[in-house]
Amino acid sequence: MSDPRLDHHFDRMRHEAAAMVRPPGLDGARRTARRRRAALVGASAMLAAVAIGVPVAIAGGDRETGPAEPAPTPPAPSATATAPAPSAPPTPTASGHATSTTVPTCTDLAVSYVGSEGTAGTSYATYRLRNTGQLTCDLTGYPGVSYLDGAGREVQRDAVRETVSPAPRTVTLRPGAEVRFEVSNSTVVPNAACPGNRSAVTLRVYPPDNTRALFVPGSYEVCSPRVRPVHAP
Amino acid sequence: MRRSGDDIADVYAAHFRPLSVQLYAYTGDLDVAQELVQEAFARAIPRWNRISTYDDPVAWLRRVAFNLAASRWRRVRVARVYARRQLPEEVGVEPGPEHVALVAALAKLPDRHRRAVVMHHVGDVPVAEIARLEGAPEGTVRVWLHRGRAALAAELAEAWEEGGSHV
Repeated sequence: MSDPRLDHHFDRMRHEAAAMVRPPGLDGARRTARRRRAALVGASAMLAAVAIGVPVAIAGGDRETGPAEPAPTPPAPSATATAPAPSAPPTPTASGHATSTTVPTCTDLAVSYVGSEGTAGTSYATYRLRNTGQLTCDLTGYPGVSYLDGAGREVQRDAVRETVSPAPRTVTLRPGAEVRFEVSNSTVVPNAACPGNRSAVTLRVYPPDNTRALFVPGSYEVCSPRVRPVHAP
Repeated sequence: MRRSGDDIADVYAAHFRPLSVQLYAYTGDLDVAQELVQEAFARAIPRWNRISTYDDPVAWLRRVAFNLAASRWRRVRVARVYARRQLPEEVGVEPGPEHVALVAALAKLPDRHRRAVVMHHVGDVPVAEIARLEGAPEGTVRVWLHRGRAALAAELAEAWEEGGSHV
């Protein structure tokens, strides 16, 4: 299968190139990171310029917000508020809410896919929620995440909330600004933890303290999904 | 819970070099490769609390560096200038003929084939992980690898016939 002569080329190249590399040092990277951070703090309006993806609602999506189908209820763990009942007004998360209560919870939001990273046995996908409204608003905590197949049925189970420390913080979003969140899935095959169909074509997201679902079409392999709280990008 | 390898300085010390070699095999330019890896670390620093909790933080760095390379990222000159300043006058290592021939042959591969071949054969990245990074089925990645290797062998066959003494 593998030509030893070709392998020899790769070996030589690896060794010689490794000897030629001159790491400039982590301090340089730290200075770069600090400079950018300072620039961002000075002009946080730059964030508003980041608007790449637009979510596409799937056909018949109305059904998803109707009273017939409640918001997904994440499994039991204590201290994780479930999504409010359909048609209830969005309520800000009470505990640990450090910012002024005059800032409303974000409800005009667009979701889009940012990217994925894979490690052994687990994939991590990052999504953004962008404030498409005219007002500054807050988001705190976990989105409700589940996957649907082509017929609109849930695939596997809702994403479990991954415990984080320190507790999720409130992020204040100006118009156009965004938060991000990550969803992980096991990529181990086969996996006794997720028998049956794993393929989904839609990611359904209830932003924190929202009752209206947003959708990201795609091609997903779902297994033991876990979701992390929203955070500033 | 922190593991010993979680410290970014340790990761830098252990992985800057191998990552740079992979990016060099992909871009064909060692300066650009080091610039890309340095930039990946600069982007990791503000997010390190999160990235260090991943099973394999290096996979994040690799993905960012390759993405930057693929998007023809060239904006941050500062890191590159800095990298050049650190280079000693006399590097002392000259690329040998097999090395030069391979880099030239890699440059002729289609982008995705090259990326897959470099990750797999230079970075020892498993097929499954390449598949996830590329958003392609594993079978497809295997086809890229097979075609990439075949193209490299064909390209290098001339050198093998001419010299005949490389192995």
